[in-house]
Amino acid sequence: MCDSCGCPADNSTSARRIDLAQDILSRNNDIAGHNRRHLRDRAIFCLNIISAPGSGKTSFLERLGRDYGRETAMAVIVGDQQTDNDQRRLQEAGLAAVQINTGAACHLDADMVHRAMHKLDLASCKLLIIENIGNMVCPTAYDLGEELRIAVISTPEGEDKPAKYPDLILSSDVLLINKVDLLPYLTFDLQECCRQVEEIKPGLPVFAVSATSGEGMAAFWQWLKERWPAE
Amino acid sequence: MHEMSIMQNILDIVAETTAREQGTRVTRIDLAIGERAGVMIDALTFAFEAMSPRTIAAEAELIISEIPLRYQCPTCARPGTEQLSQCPACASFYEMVQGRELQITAIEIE
Ligand SMILES: Nc1nc2c(ncn2[C@@H]2O[C@H](COP(=O)(O)OP(=O)(O)O)[C@@H](O)[C@H]2O)c(=O)[nH]1
Ligand SMILES: [Mg+2]
Ligand SMILES: [Zn+2]
Repeated sequence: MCDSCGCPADNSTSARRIDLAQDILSRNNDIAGHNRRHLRDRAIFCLNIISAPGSGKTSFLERLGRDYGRETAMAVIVGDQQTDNDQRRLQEAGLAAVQINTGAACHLDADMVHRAMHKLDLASCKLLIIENIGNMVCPTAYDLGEELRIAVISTPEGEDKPAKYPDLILSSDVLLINKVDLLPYLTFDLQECCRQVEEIKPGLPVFAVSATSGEGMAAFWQWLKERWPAE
Repeated sequence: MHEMSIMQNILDIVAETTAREQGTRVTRIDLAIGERAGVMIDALTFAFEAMSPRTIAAEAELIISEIPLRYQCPTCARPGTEQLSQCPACASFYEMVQGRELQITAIEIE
């Protein structure tokens, strides 16, 4: 319709379509690419760990630090909405750690990680681990510059967690099922859990572990080291 | 609930593009969102309604096409089925080839 007199003649031909085909998170992805190059140049292997709150991410990293920290220099960037509790726990386990408090945000983005990276002394670091905010959905959309994405679920969460939260399984390179020391007290069906994972992401490596007892840690560490480019 | 921050990224791209193309008004925004991209369409629409007023996209129509999840055999390109995790022809594990898109496909400006 004509704008000036309201007649049916269409003279608003100025509308133009612009094809973009642009990733909505392209800004994040650019910074993630920068992080990745920065770390690769320094031969630092980077992991992004994602799970629900309380699955045992920090406990797992404390254990990893205690068991393998002398063999491989590790640093952790840990995100939580508030507090620096996890940073302190990780430091007590002998790891270099820097805390990000996101306040309202439900995920870490590449820019937060970039700023945190520059707060760490990465000179001797071989492995940089990012503990994401406890959330199984939002963090999956954000590339942080990691080489591998690690999903964690834990046995008290139930064996149908993969079916309930397929986004995380789909976007991950490996799944850890933590707290297997609790299996005798739960009805958690490990086989059924693995079957669900297989349906969502065929061939995804799965490790049953316990951050408390240390069970399964060595097998995972072995697998991880095989993914690392030779030094 | 990161749909707000996703929408902020969309509105930023829309504003940058419109300025670069010397437009004064955005009439339409086309998005392609994967079924497994970790984004809720309703929440994204809500975020648009809450955040677009007083931006250059205030009068724009938001068109979202949802991209379904699709698996394929990486070796022989046979499409995957939900019941099978391995290709019956060559035993390769199926790979996801579609369904995690988060894309702004096009905008229409004046
Ligand atoms: N029994 C058992 N408890 C665990 C294990 N790993 C973590 N936890 C406990 O689970 C709770 C949450 O762990 P935390 O590491 O803070 O989880 P995060 O939120 O994922 O970092 C703590 O009380 C831990 O002691 C495990 O392997 N076995
Ligand atoms: Mg933690
Ligand atoms: Zn095949």
